[in-house]
Amino acid sequence: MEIFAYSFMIRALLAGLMVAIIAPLIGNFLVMKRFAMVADTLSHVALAGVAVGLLTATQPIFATILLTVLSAILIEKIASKQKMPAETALALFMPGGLAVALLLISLANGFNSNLFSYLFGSITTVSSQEIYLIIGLGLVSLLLIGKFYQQLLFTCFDEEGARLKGIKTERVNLLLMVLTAVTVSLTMRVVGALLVSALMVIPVVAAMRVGRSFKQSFVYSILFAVLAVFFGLLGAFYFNLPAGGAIVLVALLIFAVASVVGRK
Amino acid sequence: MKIIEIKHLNFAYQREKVLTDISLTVRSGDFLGLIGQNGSGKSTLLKLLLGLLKPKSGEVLLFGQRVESFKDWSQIGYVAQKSNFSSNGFPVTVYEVLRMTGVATEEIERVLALSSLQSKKDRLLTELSGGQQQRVFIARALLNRPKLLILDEPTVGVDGNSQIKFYELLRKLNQEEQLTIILVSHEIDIIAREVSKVACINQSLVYHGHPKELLEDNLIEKLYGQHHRLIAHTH
Repeated sequence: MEIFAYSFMIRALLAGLMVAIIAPLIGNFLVMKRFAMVADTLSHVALAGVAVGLLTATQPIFATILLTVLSAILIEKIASKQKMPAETALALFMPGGLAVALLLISLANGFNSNLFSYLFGSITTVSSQEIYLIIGLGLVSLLLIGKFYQQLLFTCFDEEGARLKGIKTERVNLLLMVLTAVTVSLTMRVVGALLVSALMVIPVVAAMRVGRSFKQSFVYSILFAVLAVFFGLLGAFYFNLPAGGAIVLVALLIFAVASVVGRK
Repeated sequence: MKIIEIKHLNFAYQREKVLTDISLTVRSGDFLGLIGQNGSGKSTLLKLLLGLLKPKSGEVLLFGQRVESFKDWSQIGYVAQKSNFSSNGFPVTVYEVLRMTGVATEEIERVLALSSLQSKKDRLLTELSGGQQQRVFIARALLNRPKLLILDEPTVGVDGNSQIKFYELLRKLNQEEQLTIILVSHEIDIIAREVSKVACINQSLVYHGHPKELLEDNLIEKLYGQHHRLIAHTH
């Protein structure tokens, strides 16, 4: 295929496929916990990280990971101490992240094309350095999910029950939030900050329509995300479309098909 | 053997007193019904028993240890009033609900057999009736052979036939497996029929003893007000 003749497309596919595996994995836990909105919130915080990167002329992904992880820890602390409902905490961080981003961007002399690539994704411009980072952090995330799979599942399914069975649910929640923050930062490079939660949630809800067990649903969600990334990139390459939008639209198409098939 | 010992327990939310000077002992093999009207402090007492709240004064001992330092939670099985999963709709099978606790397959098979759920193990939780779902959560609570089972209003929203099977299972667990059970309920007639001891809470401990005597005294009025009386269920 012509698409594989270009090194930038191979890099895009590698980054996209890694993200397509991690994003729905984390998304499954978030949807089960009814906390999917945290991905959207952290993607707004991630924009502030991008702004820091642009302002300091450094690789934005480092500042993005740092800021989203810090925010994720804070959100979890606020929610677990029940100082305010989790939704209210998210409602503080979402505009807060955006406000910081806007201020920093204005200091960095306003909007430029680089910023738009983070807003809407620019997978085809992923550098080799970013590929290593995405694959490295992706593998670490996969290892952590594998190691703590049962605890994550039990805590998201029934936190009170898990705590009474001796699971340290605060630590498990914290791990999930940190993994979410890292995943948001990595996914942002593929589909853009505004569409991050799409890749974490749409394949999961599509899989829920056809899965006959959690395990099946888990596998389907990864398969759907991989299909969305692959065909989205293919569409973007051959029809000259923005990759992020194409990926999300393919994911939505899969959701529509799964909804029809799942009803039978 | 004392499973639970509550000594002069007091609890308040800010200035609002919820529980006053509760002292109560639960012994091995007891089937205790904990009853009281809404707002009487039943749920608060449960949370204090499970270490989820800190008392203002007094203490709770679980298996002889203060609840604050109690670590061996595998000794206690807990079934909440309503699982937080019930309205989510995530596809999860009965087997997966039990497997996520990290126990071995043989132990899962044991509790499935005990709860008569073998034929349902590959079914989705959402496809089961309310009574069957509660049996799944009892099965989960029974993993690793706990010595104490605590159930918080377990039959709310469960149909009559399922309730019969549900209480049959609890009787079997109490009599054949010598499991100590605490059953929280507002269904006073069922409690009176099923349990071996009753504790009535109305901020303080109004009555603790045999359910028969509860029916003879005017305690129902004390607990629920003058307009309440006992009507026997026919099932």
